[in-house]
Amino acid sequence: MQHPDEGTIHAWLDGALSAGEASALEAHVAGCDQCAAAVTEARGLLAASSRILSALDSVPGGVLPATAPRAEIDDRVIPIARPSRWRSPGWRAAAAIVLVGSVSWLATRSTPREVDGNVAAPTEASKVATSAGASQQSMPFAADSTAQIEQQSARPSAPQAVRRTVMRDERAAAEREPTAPANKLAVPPAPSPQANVATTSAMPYAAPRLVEPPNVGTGGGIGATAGRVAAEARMAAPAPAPVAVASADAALRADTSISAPDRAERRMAPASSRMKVSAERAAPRRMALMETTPDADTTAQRLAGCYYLETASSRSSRPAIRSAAALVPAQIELALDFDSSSHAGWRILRPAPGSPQFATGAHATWSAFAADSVQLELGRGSERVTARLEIRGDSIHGNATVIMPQLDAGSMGTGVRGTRMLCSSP
Amino acid sequence: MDAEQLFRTYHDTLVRYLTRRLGDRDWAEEVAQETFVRALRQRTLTNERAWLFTVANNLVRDEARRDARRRKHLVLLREEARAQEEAEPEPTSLERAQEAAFARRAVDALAERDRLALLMREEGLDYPEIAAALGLSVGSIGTTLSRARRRLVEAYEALQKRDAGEGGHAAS
Repeated sequence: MQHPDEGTIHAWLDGALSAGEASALEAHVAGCDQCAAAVTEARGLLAASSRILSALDSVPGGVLPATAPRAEIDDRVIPIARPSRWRSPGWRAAAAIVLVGSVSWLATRSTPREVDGNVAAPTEASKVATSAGASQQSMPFAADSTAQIEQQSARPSAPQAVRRTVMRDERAAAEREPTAPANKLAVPPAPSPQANVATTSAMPYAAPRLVEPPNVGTGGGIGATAGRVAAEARMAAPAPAPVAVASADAALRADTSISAPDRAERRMAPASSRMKVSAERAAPRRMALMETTPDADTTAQRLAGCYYLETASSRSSRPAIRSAAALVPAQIELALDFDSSSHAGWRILRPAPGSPQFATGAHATWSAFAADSVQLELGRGSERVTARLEIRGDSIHGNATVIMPQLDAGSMGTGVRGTRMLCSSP
Repeated sequence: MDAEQLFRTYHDTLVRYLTRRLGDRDWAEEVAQETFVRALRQRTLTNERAWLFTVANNLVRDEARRDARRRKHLVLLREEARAQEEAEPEPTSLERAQEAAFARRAVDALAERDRLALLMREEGLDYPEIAAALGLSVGSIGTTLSRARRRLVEAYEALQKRDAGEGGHAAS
């Protein structure tokens, strides 16, 4: 057999050759160093190009976001739909309470006391009030809202809100406990967030583990990087059989697309400043992946709460699509209904306190179906909305399917995104 | 396959493909929407996935050809609206934004055919499906993909190196 050209090698790696062609190529590569090197390089290119393309997914709507220095990220945890509300002093105070609650929890957590994620200590609210002053220095926007925090704490409803928030913090933190992923490749000790940033910017698609020196490829940058990446593929699957290649590539993509610490960082990234404080102060090394087994009850408790939602199609130029998009409510509460034994695993979906009734006025439910995801069902008769949304930190996003007779096709899909809000009337 | 199942099966894939191709999620959603509308008018679809991608490609091409000016205007209006919103649902780090910007430029630097083949392959289309969608022979897809991957990685690395060089100058 002649030396295969690059296109044939890629076709082989993509599993597009016939069994006969594949085995002939495999046999040739086994005895040809030059071709083995070409295969290694091709694997690197495959993994690298996948990694590069996946970076395109991180830009919502095609507009590069205005970037801000990390230190300045304060109260821009914000809403898509109603920015002005979040800038009001009341919301700032509420955000400060969330932050302070988190810091307070961290302080208590360092003591030997066992934290019970389901029962909030009755003194949490008062601890929050007393630690507010101490925490001011580290919170850029706390100074102008401390008085409001105290005022709110004095009102009967405020401690309850704080307690709910603290409970949520505890659950969220419990989820972030280091749980060793059983079937993952070795995860290196997590570097500090800063070190991690340096790593990702210097080697955006190279794996964090360098297991074999690059000595293959065409030389130069690409070969070197590709070689490093490909070296791992060989470690994962030494035999270049097509099936093994496929699994090696899959493992490679999983492993190199985002390094473990980077994944942890990304998980933290969209969270509110409350989460940032928790992560950076308390336990940067505890930012392990949340690879827990989905547990419907625990997940539901963690994800329950109120959210703003914005539907992509609400900006459509077509009236029918806009009206269909309007069936997705703008403010929802994922409420827990522990008494309803007949709806095991299902929860009540209702308008967030103070927001209008759902357009259809129908009974609605939600359920948690994975570690970070919920499914919403809403509607009556011929109009129905089903949404699958992923919740990361305080952000919620996913897709909704709206079924409505007025639509040409009878149904449509649309992107949905939003953010967590407090479950109380503003 | 009924409407809902067709939608559930392919919507995310198609929107991701279109978003990567167009660089605009809203536009991608609209094209995907129109694609599904057309799919549902068909009585039978022999290869649903290849059909959907082909129609989506055609819609993008036709629209680009016919409405280039109108589209520019709409994009401009949308950008303005976004600027006023001042809202970013997920704070994106500088590094990720830069990665995305480099990736966008590297992808845009590819020849149209190479870019589409690569993006479709990333969404799991096999060689015959890609060949059908692009009107190429199956035998040429390997070459097309290998060229696309190499050029993408080369372009990306060149952007990085240039950026690192500029960063070095700035620091010194």
